[in-house]
Amino acid sequence: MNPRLTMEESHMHKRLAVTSGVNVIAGNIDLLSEILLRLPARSLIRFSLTCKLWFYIITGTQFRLSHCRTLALSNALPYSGVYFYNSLTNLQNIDSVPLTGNVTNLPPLPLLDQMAAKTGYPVKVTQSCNGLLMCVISSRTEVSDLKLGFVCNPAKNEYHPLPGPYDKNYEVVCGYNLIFDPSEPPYYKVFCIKRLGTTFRGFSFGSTDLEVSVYVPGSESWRSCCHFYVDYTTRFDCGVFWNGAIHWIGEYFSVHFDAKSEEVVIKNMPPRPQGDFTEKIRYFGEWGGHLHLIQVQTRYAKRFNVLELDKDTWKWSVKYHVHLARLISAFPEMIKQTPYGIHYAFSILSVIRGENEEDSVLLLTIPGKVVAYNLVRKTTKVVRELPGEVANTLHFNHVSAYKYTESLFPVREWSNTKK
Amino acid sequence: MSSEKLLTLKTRDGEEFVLEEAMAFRSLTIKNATSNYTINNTPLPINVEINTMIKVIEYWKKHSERGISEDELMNFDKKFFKLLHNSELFDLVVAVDYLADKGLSNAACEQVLDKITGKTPQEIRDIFNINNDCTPTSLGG
Repeated sequence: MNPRLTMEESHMHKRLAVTSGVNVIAGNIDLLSEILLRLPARSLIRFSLTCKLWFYIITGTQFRLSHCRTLALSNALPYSGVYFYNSLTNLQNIDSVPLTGNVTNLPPLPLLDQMAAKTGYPVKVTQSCNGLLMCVISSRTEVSDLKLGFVCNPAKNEYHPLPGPYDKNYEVVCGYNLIFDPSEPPYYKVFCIKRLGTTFRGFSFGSTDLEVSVYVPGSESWRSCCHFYVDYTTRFDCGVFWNGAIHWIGEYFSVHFDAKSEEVVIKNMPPRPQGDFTEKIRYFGEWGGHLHLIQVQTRYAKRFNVLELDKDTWKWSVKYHVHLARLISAFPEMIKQTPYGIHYAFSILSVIRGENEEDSVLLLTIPGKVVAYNLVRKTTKVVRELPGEVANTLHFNHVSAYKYTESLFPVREWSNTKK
Repeated sequence: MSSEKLLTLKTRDGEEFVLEEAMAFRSLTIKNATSNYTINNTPLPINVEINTMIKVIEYWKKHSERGISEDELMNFDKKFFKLLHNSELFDLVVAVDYLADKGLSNAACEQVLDKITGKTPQEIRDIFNINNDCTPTSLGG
């Protein structure tokens, strides 16, 4: 009962409601679906318990597909949080941090542990795309190095295993990438990058020939798209989907694979900062339609720039100057004295662009915490406490956070969704 | 004004009224109906009741005003929807869906969304007057 109405008004309201519009809507599946399609997935998951009719509508495959498409086209994907691996510690488990006040916890990912237990091999999340997670089972033995993929919807705890992509004798899977294309059902596609070469005793002696193949849900197997070559520093296990293409980067070259045209374009990376250190990439990721890159002079540099790629000119330019001196003095536990000099323990999870520019932050893990460093105001906020002792040798991965948004996508029935 | 073509419409509950064609054509349903056959002054029947149609016309009139600013329109919309009871809003949503006016349909649906966002399933049932026929077992799987 609406407490704002008086008893009398509320009775009249109910009487009117019985004979008119509200009943028509409540019983009219098309009209109701039209309204429900505009709601965020989080609300719909809750509202599916309203009554049987609503449950049938919201859990119907067609509705779920339309909803994902509507949400993607609206350009306002609301991220509830990120999953991440804390690369400062030796912990192998995935953790999460919520980013909006509405959410206290991201859904746990029991599937990862279940898969690991079932197969006996480590399972890792390697990418997220519009609410779904790309996961990889790495079975590395003395004689082989196989990577099998599966796609998971954390909000619904559903998964869909992908067929094995191996067809020739000697191939190494470098990575899998999930993309979302709202123009064409079933909207998601998975791309696999393989290095053609030799494996001997579990080690790969790669030729440098790379192959991209695609899996469309509903098809039986992978289809080869193209071959190309690039240097060995380019990493294919952590691609980023942005502006209709998958982007992989290395120290010297960046590779862009257009998901529609299936063409590969190789470009030079922006000039590397000076310094002896060989690995200069600290972060590469996408947020809110912006592609960001952080290159550093040395691994423990506390000062660096955040670059952004322009959609039209394909040029990288400096978007933010970051100097972590203030952060380090506020959290001296970041300072590590080593025989090789002073090192700073921090790992970049994500560059997050806010709706307003002054809300843009750099999300970082530091010893014992996740902090958000505001890129415009240069202030810091502690977002979460973190367990785990910082490892002696700090290890950085330039993609370590996976954005999460609730999605209704029917991953389990994926094979049946192709028209 | 004398060059404006006029259209006579007849509502579901038998009321007749006259409207400028340009305004009536905001409804795709009306537009298609008139293009399919000549009217010859017989009123075009529409499946909407007069009370709801009055509100639709009020909205159309305001949104057809020349020289009106975005801000004034926003203020009008706010007041317009605020004055509607839930039942009137739902009648409007159904009517506009039938009339096929994308702009008003979006605006009305947004209003319904506002009413249900953040509510619990029980509050939704109250608004829509739905019976709770869910049992834990019936929703299994």
